[in-house]
Amino acid sequence: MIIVENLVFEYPTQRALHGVSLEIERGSITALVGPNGAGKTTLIRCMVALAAPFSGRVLFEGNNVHKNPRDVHRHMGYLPDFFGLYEELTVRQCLSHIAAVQSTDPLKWDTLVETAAHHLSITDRLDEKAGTLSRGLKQRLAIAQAIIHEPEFLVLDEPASGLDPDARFQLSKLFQELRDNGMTILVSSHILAELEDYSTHMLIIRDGRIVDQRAIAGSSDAAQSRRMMVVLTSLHEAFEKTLVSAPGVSGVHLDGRIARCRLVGDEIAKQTLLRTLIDAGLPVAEFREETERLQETYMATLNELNETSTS
Amino acid sequence: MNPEFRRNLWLEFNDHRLIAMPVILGAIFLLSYLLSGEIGQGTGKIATLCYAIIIFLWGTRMAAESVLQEVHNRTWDLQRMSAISAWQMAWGKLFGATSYAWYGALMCLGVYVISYGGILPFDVLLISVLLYIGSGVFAHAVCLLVSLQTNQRRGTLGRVQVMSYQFLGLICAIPPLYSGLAGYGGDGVYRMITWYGEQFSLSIFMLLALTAFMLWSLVGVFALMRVELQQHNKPWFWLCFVGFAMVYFTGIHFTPPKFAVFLAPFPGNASTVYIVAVIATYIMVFSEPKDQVQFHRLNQFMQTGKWAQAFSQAPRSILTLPIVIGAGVTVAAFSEVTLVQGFVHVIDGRVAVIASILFVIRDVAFVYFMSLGQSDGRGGNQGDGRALLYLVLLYTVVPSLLAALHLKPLVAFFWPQYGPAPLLTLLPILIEVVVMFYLLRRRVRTQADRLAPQKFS
Repeated sequence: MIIVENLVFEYPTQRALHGVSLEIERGSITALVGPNGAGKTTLIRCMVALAAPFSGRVLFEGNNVHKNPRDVHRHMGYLPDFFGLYEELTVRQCLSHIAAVQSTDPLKWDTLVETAAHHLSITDRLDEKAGTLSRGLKQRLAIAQAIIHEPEFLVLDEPASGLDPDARFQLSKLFQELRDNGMTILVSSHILAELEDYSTHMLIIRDGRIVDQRAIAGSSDAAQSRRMMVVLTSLHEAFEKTLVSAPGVSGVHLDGRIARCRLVGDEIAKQTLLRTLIDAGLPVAEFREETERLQETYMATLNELNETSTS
Repeated sequence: MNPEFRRNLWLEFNDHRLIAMPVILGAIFLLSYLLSGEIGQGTGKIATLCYAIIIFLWGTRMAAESVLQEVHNRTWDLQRMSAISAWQMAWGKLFGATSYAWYGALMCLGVYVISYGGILPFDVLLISVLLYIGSGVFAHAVCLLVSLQTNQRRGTLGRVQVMSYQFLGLICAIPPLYSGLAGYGGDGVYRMITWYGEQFSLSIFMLLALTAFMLWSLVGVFALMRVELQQHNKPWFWLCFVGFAMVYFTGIHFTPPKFAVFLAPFPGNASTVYIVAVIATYIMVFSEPKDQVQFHRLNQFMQTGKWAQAFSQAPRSILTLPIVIGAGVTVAAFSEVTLVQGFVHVIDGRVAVIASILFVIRDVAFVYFMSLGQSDGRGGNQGDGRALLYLVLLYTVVPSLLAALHLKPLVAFFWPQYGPAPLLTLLPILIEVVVMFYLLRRRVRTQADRLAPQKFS
């Protein structure tokens, strides 16, 4: 859906993106993570055509976003890290204005306003001025503005900052709901524990370069590396050998009757592995995919990079 | 309805404000009527005064702040992410942000028409009203234009900055309004103006000129709004405007008699074309954004043979230089060597004009050199400000100092000379141009090297 090709972005005194290339698949929720100053916001601003890169291109459904920014903007929603609101307007006017500037059908404006307000639980605030809302409610209004025109691609920079735990939970549910409705979402956040509730892919950026892009639990991606756990009812001598020789399996770690390994592939690959284990006569008591801890993966990737650069 | 215009109406109008304006203005006009005892010139003058305050002092402020406030309040990205066109955004802002001012101003104009209805002929009254409205729109458009240009230079929103934009708007709009209103003497005499040898009614001429410049300012706002919305402009808007200004000003003969003797060696019309091109270059070089990324990108386009893109993204001031050179060389070709009354030497018009072309080229290079050397790497206000200060010193204090020290031959480094020795006049500035270009080239290269990708560590 979104293809970024060799994107280079320069600020007057430094290069912020060094030939970044990536692809975001339709219907995914991608977590964009990286240290401060890594280039996350710059990358996002280039992807939504708010900043022009020095070279490279961003394709949205095959259209170069920097050649036709107005055409693609109506299909995109964006919530910046530091956003502002028209504080003198009511919540209804704010939402109605965005619906209008995104060239939606005027006959649908009321419905769009109601739907967006309902999604963010601000229906009872529609006639209050935006400036009188609390920080958390302002954040919800800003997200509602980003989704009111039902964009195909939604980009959010730190969407959960300022939200209380309940609102964060609701936001997580909203993202999954939007994804189920066909929206593709890119979320940049420092709160990794929160991202792993709903993300299907992770994109790690450091020093203006993409250092890792991978699918994480919940994805149907055939190329995804999954962390699997197998538990036997009793010890079995062929356990390790069977696992190591199974297709797509790597990184086998055996601890008595419990084994952990990585498996590359989709649901069929999991089924094949299970069949292999059973056909080998192993007394399988438990076979499951372990939830990928985003924090662990992120730290492991950065540590790996640090070790590579120091060696 | 244009959504941006509608949003501004929501912000500008509420029940209280809707009532407040007519009540306040009504009270002022009633007081004026009671004091003068009639609806006539007294109330008419009060109405024009109120109009001027509302449109030129208040309205210009609203226009200047319309985009900068959004940038400051962080709502501008939301607008830039929208799907409305640059033109919709431009007129929605221009007339939306100033809508409340126009609400009051139109009331003032209504009182003005009633007051002067029986005093001025209908055509004069109509032209006056159109002049007031046109100058108001022109002033607002210039303020919005300057604020958009400033925003692209990463300017800040401050009271002083906004006042300076208002000042520029007024400088542009007041002279044609004043001249147009002076076209009817009140004694039944219509003043005339000569343009390309033809006589025109001054009021009608100024109304047409005002309309033309107002339309150009709207074109400018549209072009800069396109840039804000990440759309690229070719330089034709600017180059066509420069061409229009050349044609317009060349038709008017406004050389004060006092200076006529000094301008004797130079051909009249061609000289005006040259002067307009020079002024346009200086305005653009100080106003357009200048940063290293732009130069780096331009360099890449030229190295890869993408000449159309290089032309499209080249600084407008640099693109105006060929016009300056062309017009200057034409003026030089038709200039004379004459003995001017009060001068010891003959004035060689040809050498003086060629020297002045070289000074313009040096100054443009100098402004870029200063702007690209900013510590933050951005050619912002500081670099331009310093360049302006140094240029003022170079053109005023330094030549005076050299003259006072009896080092007059060195003045040729700082001011175009007109003496009969071409080498002594041209060589110093030629050296300066070469040195300036060398320094600028070195600075651009250094910055480009700094931007080159570092090894990933």
